Amino acid sequence: MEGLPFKTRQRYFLLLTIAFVIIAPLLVLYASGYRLSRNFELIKTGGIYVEVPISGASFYLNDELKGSGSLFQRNFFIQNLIPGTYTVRIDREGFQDWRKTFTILPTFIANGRALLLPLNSERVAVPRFIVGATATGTTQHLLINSEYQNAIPYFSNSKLNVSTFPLGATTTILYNNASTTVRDQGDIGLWQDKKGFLHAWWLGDEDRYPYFFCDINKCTRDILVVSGGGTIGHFDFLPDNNQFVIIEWPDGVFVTELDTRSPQNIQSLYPVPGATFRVINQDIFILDGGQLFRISL
Amino acid sequence: MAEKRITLHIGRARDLSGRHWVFYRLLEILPAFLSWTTLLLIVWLSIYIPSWAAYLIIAFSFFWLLKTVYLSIHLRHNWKRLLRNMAIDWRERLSHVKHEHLRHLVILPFYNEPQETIERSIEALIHTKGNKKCLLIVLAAEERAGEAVIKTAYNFRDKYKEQFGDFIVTVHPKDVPGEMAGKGSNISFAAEKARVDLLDKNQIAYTNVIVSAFDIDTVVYPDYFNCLSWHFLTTEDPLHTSFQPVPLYNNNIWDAPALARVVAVSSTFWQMIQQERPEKLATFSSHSISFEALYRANYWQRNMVSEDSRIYWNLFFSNEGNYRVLPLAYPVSMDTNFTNSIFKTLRNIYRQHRRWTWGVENVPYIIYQSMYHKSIPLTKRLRAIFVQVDGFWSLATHPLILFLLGWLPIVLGSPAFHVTVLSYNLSSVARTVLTLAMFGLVVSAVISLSLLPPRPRYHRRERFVFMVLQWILVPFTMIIFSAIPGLESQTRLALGRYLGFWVTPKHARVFSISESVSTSGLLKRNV
Repeated sequence: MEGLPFKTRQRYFLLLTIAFVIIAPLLVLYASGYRLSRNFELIKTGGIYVEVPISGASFYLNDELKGSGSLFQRNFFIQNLIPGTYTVRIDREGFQDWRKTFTILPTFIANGRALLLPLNSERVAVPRFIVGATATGTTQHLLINSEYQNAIPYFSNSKLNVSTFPLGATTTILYNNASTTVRDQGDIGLWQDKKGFLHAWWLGDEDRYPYFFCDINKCTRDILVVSGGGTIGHFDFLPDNNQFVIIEWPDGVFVTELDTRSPQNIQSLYPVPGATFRVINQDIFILDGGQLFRISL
Repeated sequence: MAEKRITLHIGRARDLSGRHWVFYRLLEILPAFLSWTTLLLIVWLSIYIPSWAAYLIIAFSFFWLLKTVYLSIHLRHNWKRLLRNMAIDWRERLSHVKHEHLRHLVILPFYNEPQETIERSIEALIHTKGNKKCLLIVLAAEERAGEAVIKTAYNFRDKYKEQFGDFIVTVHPKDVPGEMAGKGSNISFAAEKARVDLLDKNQIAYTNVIVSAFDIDTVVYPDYFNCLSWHFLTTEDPLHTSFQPVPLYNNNIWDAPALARVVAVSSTFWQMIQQERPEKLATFSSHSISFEALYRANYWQRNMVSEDSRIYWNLFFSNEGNYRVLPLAYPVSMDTNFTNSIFKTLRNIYRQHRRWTWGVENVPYIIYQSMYHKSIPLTKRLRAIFVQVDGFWSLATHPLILFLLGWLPIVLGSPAFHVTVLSYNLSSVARTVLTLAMFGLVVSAVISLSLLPPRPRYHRRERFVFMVLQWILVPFTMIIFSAIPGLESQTRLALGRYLGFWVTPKHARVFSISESVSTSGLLKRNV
């Protein structure tokens, strides 16, 4: 038996070279978002990617169900979308809906991070006293709860002052030529101007803006997060997350998102008038009429 | 003639002087320069022009898929040819041509390998078919190994001398100026001693002698010398031809851990693929060659590591390009490299592959010699250079680009890139293409199973399953035992930190001849 003839090898080589010359550019075009239209025209498409914090959520595009998340694939990615405006809704039973309108540009992906808070957040009461026992275990008596004792001083500041945020980083920025202290988490600063409006400020490099500081045309260093809804009593980042902000309004505690795109999702965390909150060691504590709760999301 | 020999046997830049040194030194830097530039270019593009990096990676992944298809075709053909050749009765075929005048000079170099390993190789020679009186055995010992080892060699000579045409022991002196301690200097010394003590003494014409330079763990299959003789006698211009068997690492493959098996069989497969592309084939490890050609080239180089491939290039240039390697598509069996400790096994495999990839020292040699052998057609010279440069560049860079750097644009790319469709599709498209390429591993698994010797009784039947599953380790082995040692070799060459010869330790269980070669599945087809 002879070795593979040179001419046969040449033919294979030629065939595979032709395959490469034809298919490789098509692969690159496909990966870049180019598709063939029904009229066999090459069109540029875009897509949407939404990060979802919980499994089992449903994804609607223009009110049409496109799929549901699973334990291993919580996030949604859809491509082949013709450039235009699309409305996305993400919901799951027992959680508040999240909606967003995305403008799709050719060969680009519109990103989003869904805010999905439970309809009824799990709250654990943190009493001032807990029942303790003596060493022999024969008698019981009340002991001061150290968790309560540690948390309550953080609520003592009656007026908001960013620089006195508990256990959090602060940064000083220049705004309208005035020095302003901002609440800083992951290169994003939160602060209130003199009118009481809440701003988010990108503290990082200009070429590293997060997508939610950008719209179709340009990115901005300053996002106006809240300009109404009553006086803000307190605000802070949601623990481990610098895209969502907890805000204390007169009618309760709410969470909103930093995003230049509409609509701005605002979801209730503890919608009880007069309640206030603090984030301490990445836990959310609610103080409601003298009662302290720890919130689990 | 003598002056030309000296020029042909350049080991490294320091063997030259003046502008020749400068030129050769630059050529030594070239392979590392190409590989590192490629890798750094990918990193640079990933940071500054990530979309270009992504285009490159997607196109490259597809290129790899097609290359896998192309190489698999070669592998499959050689596999069929190997099995066919194993089934041929070469002695019967040889009987139709005049062959009685041929002698086989078998050189078995060793350092301090176990006696059992040496004995197994000699036993295999005894078990070959045909007239053993045509076999002239040279057991090539090293003085630096010590008296006890040399005494062992003589014991073997006394024990087996009567079985062969002749059996001599040579002792390569230590610390010879201008030599590097290693296989090349040992077998060159042995070949010269054999010339004087065996060939000249018995007035055997050099043109009638085929030299087989084996590693000490090489176990020949019974028809090897018949197959070799037949090819030598029937091929056009045998004195300008080297003969390359397929190295199977079957001697102890059942005992080897999965990683060692994958690496060993992958090496075999690469040689099988090269056997179907003889214009790209250079001699490797155990090989055979006419004594006449070897003598004219002043034997193997004594001042370098990769003497096995260099002898081909010595002969290529000394014969002004009129030299080739004939693939035999017939196996010899060798040891899989492993020890009792997994860590030592990994370390030894790495060192062995670093030694193999040190073959990159041929690149400056080939380019340098090409400049001074203008009678060789330019296309032939350029092709030889391209094949070598491309080969070493590929082995050092391709696995890293495929399995590590492919993710770089996503990791290092700017936020502007992260919001493109390309960024989101890069990983999925590249992954899909590479997954398709991995189907080539199915071909590998099937072929590797067919080449296995019978399972020793002390191994369970389930071990077959692992013989298949082991192939998922290929991406890992490509990086750890191909790309990284390849890069290290090239970098050492560029920095002038030359590698010395490293003897692969033989700690494996040694089977008797009846347990290994003579009962192998391959042989069964042949008997």
